[in-house]
Amino acid sequence: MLSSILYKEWLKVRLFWGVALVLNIGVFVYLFVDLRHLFTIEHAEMIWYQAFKIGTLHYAYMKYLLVITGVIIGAAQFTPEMIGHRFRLSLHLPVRPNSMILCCVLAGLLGVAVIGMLDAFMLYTIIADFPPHEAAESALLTALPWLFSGLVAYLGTALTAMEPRLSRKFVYLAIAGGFLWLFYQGNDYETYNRALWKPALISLLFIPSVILPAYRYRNRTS
Amino acid sequence: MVPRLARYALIVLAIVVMSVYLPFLYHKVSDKKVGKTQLFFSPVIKKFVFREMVGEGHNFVTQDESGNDYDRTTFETLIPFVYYKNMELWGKLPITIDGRTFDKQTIKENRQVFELKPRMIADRSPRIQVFPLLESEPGVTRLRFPEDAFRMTDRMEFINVDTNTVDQGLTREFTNAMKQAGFVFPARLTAGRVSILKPFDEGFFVVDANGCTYHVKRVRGEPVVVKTPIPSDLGIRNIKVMENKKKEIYGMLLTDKGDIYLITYDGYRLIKLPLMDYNPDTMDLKLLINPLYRTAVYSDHHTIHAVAMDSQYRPISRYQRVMFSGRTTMADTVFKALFPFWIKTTDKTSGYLQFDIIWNGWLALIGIALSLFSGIAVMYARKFSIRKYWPDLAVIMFTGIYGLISVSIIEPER
Repeated sequence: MLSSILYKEWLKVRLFWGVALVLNIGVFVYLFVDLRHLFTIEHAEMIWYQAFKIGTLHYAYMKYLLVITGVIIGAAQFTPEMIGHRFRLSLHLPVRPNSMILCCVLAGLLGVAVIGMLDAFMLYTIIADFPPHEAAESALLTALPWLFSGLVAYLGTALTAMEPRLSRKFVYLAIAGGFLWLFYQGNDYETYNRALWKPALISLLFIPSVILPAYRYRNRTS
Repeated sequence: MVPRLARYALIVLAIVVMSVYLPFLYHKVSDKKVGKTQLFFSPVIKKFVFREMVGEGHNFVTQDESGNDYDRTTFETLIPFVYYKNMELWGKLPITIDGRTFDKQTIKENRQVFELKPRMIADRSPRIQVFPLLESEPGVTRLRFPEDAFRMTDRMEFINVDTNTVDQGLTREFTNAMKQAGFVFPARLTAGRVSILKPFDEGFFVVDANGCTYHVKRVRGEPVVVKTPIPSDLGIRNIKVMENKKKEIYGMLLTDKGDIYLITYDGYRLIKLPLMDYNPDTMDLKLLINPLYRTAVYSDHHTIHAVAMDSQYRPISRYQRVMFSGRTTMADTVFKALFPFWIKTTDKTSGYLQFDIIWNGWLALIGIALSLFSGIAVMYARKFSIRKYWPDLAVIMFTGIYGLISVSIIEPER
């Protein structure tokens, strides 16, 4: 049954997942073109100096890319169900509601994570093509909190979308938004190297917390 | 049971978010503009003099260590080597101190400032370990970045910046020169000043696997490697290279024990600075050199210390004071009472983010007690049974105002 739910969720989001995938690939294609252009018009040693010493992040515009991806997939997965109250049908499937919810969330998380991993791969490959591998490794470490924030964005969207009461939606939005911003506290490269595990670990609490709005939806306690 | 746990998961997330942003907002609202104390050793009165902001606007006190007040102009004439341009404007140059006369040129040539902030220490900020080795004798007026950069691996590896490939010839040449000088790979520390905006280039100081320090330069394209006599058991943590036209000091060396040495041009002889209570992880350090004295001034957010030295770096006077900015204000007390803890994300002393929990001490019990009382009142008003919802009160007991807000806005299911 759970594999059927996963498949159902895939059918639901595949179009938007595809759109998000194209968007992500598009941004990285632009990054490649942009870096190529930069290395054409500027002396390479100056770009290396800017990147290594001054700390210019030439790939900074991918900062919010996976957040947008997470929001797109989360909204595509849960908003139509909530608007049409179709979610009630899902809750009547012959599987425990909590397991069903977690399975739905797992499907969405997988969707975001796959794109996130692809982003990481593209970032490393593109950066390593211009400056040395140290820069590519550094870019990956720098982008890791941004990539992780995509998962939090997805979970925050799911949490907010499933909540039946409007005032609570705002509360969840504030919590998710505030937590999301914890992954954007640094302006230089590799600033999260020693601490990312802490917000990342705590953010796992978003996974069980999505059960609460679903429970409230099912029991209409609003 | 599961929805209840889900609610507490959400409450924990809310508490984490609030313990980052509420203290941040509190500081935004309550912070006053208080600059750091400027502290100098006056060669005129042989006392420490300082200028400190003690209130909003331009409310300053300008005193010496004995508590004598000065106006700003007098203050500046007490430290003529710092304000020598004003002294010239006021027609007070050349100036005679202790029977020696100093004109503008002499002052200018004998002034130097070294600075070491915690963020500048190699292990306190991220740095991609690829560096350009500039040509030390470029034969032109300005320094230029080379078309290669090096990394220290099991050799000194040069990468061509245009092709992003290893330059095998240059790598072999420099690696052989390093090995011939006795260098043992891999390097523990690579320290240099990566900039072309300096008068000349002194290359890099590199600490090898055995703790020995080597001075590496590129002179007319050739490697020049010098094994310095700096003791290998010193425990070098950081070297800050500061090229200066005086050519007396290469830079500052920091050890694991927190001692500061100057590396001199006199055969790399080390001079230990006589600093007391210096903590490199929290304090900014400045070494001010003038024609008569050397003064090391170091401070954290609370206390400023200084030691004045003669030209041989022997201490002649010491001073320390709690800065106005370090004094506890009413806003600080309210903060500690209001918030039992807070999550510190950024730190001026480090390039790395932290996410550390900072406890606010016993004063927080006031805020916790008030929060608990408010929590009980809210539960009573909402007709929630305390016996049933006691975990909410436990949350408030440990997290104070954060817990109170969280359990109030994320209500339990009836």
